[in-house]
Amino acid sequence: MLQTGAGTEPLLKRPFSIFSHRPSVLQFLYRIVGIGTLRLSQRRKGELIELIGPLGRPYPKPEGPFLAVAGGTGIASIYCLLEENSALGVLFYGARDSREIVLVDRLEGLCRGVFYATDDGSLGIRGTVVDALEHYFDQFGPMPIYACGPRPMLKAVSTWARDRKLTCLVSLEERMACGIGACLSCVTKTYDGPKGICNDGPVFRADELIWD
Amino acid sequence: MVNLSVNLAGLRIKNPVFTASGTFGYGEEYADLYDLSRLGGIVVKGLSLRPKRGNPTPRIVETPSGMLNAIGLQNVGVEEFIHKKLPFLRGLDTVVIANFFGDTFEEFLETAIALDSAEGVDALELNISCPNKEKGWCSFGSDPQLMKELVTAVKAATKRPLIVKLSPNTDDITKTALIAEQCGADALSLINTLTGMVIDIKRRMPVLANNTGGLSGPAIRPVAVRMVWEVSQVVKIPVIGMGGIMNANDALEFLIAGARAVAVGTANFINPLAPLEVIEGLERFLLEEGIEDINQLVGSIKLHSSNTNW
Repeated sequence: MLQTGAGTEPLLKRPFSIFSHRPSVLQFLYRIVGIGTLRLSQRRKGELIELIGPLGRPYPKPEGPFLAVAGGTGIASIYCLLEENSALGVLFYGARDSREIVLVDRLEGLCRGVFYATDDGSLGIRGTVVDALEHYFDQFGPMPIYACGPRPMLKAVSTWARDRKLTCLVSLEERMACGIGACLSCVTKTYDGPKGICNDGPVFRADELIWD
Repeated sequence: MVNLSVNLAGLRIKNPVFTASGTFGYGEEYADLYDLSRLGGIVVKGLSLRPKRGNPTPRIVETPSGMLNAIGLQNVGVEEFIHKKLPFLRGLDTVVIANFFGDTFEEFLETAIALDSAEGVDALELNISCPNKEKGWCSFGSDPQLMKELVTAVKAATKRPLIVKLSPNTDDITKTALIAEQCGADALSLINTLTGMVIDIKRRMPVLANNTGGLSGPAIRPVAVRMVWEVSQVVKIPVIGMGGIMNANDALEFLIAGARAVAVGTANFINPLAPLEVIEGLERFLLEEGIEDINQLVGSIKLHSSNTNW
């Protein structure tokens, strides 16, 4: 949970996944979408920002090659996973158009393969990441899937994975106030009752979740 | 040395700073962050007879200097609380207050009875702001007759001190305060959240899945201070003041307005150390002002004279 502005606008911290880390440096990747990210973008070098973290359960460490699936800003947590497990991941990365696809020059070097999908076909195949998976997956053997992106994308990816009997792990997002399981804002439905995305997740096995 | 301890509803409390119900889970969520025994008391997330799963999401939305929530009273239920959550709380050197509610009169009573016999619960806090399923979802607290019956019955069902938490969503909060006092409440908590709505203009829909929610945070503080002041004038029982307390200065406003103690709520989400900073800030203020005992500040407000000939 990261402080964005300095006063009471916005009041709450914002949940971010860690994009990249090395000793004494933490990096976050975000798109300006609202007041929180706008205020964060206006911070200047040398200003102090409060952080509570790391919180929640991260992706379990892949034991071998894996499929990474990112949608939009979901690339932030997926990038961290790829960086920590260099040359083990095959990345499927989708967005609305090529302008929303970032880090292209860095991704090639981290992955066994990178496949893009955009709604308008401006980069990679025209369609969704699931279309890209469908199109290219046959080149690879069965691998666990790690996915982060908008909920409809995650639902589609987990359905696709289930049909192929692949293990699928998804990292969910929701509005949060505290990030530590106290406010109960960020629950998601599971077969084991409501669970907190902040403390029980954000990474869940897709087959635990009730998608609606 | 200055004295921060207060007496409240027969309890001796080491300092007048509680954590407000619904903002502090069952305490354990914050246990890694600091020593919870430093708190005056912990008011746990509202409990019901059976577990409740709460509302669909989105459950919160931010507002200017505040937040609107409709969690839907999600909680583990009184049985699991007693068996799984209370043992941890019992190990702390702080007062534990169990907030509770019911959908029906019977559920209120059964929950109160279960909590009354649980070792480690120091007091009960009755939430009368929740809707009453039996009578068309009007809240117990908004029907004076219903509230009288409820507070009287709960008071008779428990040996523990009973705190009644009042809603600000009423035409005159002193009326509900007086009813609670007359029916045996040992203390009052105020204020609960103010009902509000935020609309997504593109979708023409409320942001919260529940449509409306409860407003909290600094945005409501002046309203809360005014209500604490009003209520403190008319009741003899102690008042626990809350509503947007972020720091010691905010807490001092409530004490000066007449509150015997305060609760830190929404601030726990933003700055988990806020309750400690309030305690330390109160102590510092007393030292700076040369006041030996926090009780001397309680209700020390000096009003402007209502001189119209200026």
